[in-house]
Amino acid sequence: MDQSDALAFAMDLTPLALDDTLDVVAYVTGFIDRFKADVTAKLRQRLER
Amino acid sequence: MQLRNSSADIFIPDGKAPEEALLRISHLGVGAHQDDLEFMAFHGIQACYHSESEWFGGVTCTNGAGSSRTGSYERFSDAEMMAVRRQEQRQAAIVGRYAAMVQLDYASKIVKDPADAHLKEDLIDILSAAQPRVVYTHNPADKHETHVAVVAGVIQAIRELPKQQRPQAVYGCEVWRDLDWLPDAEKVVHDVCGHENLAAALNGFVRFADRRGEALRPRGDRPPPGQCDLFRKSRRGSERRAGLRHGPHAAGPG
Repeated sequence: MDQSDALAFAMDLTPLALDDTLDVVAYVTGFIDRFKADVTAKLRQRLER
Repeated sequence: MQLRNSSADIFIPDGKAPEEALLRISHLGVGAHQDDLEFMAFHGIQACYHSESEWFGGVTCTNGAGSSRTGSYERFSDAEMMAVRRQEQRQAAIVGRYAAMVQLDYASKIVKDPADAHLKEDLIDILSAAQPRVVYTHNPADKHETHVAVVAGVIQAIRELPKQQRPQAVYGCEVWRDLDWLPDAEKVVHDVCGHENLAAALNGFVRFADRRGEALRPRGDRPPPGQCDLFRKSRRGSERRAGLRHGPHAAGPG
């Protein structure tokens, strides 16, 4: 059952605001790396059965 | 507060003094272009709309000079288009009951120049004056270079603030690249329904402005506006969304 008629997604940038030692590029590309890993794992699982 | 660009504009819809108006801001949106805030920061706009204690403030960084000229604006000069877009953004601030609307009026090339510190310094002053609890800006994976320049400036400005003055939540929002690819556990979900009349009013403004921006921006990336379809219609069941993160500092009622 839907709980809302409309949603918007956002990236949480709060850690970058609170921790000056976090590298901005590394933080952002980390999301992309995890996305890539997710796609890779799911695809490999289907191809290797 | 003295902004660095002599043509910058601080508009206070209810006529309060700028210092008082900025200080009440709890939710601040910082966008590149005149129509970005109503699209990406509607979560904050609607949260503050009926609140006695929460106020939305807007910052638009560029001057609108690059807007395309079609229809009745075909013969408008850059200066005339900038005046039109500035007035449109003021009107959105009235409709959305913003605490303040700051238009920094920089050329895009200045915003995108990493050697030019004017934007960052203005943002430091605005953030210091307002000390918002929540900040909405562009997401760093956006495809528009000026959007990326703005979020970079926002992060740099926040990092110049004393820790106790920094916002509790900073969100990078969707404009020119969706974020549905984010891993579910890391995806912040903003519920943007519940104020259909406000959405429709601001939607009309965005739709109007958007048509003129067609030549400036990539086509086909932004969903066609319509009532409540500024935003993604929910198609996910509650079970699936249990794995998503709702904005932790949400924004209050609405």
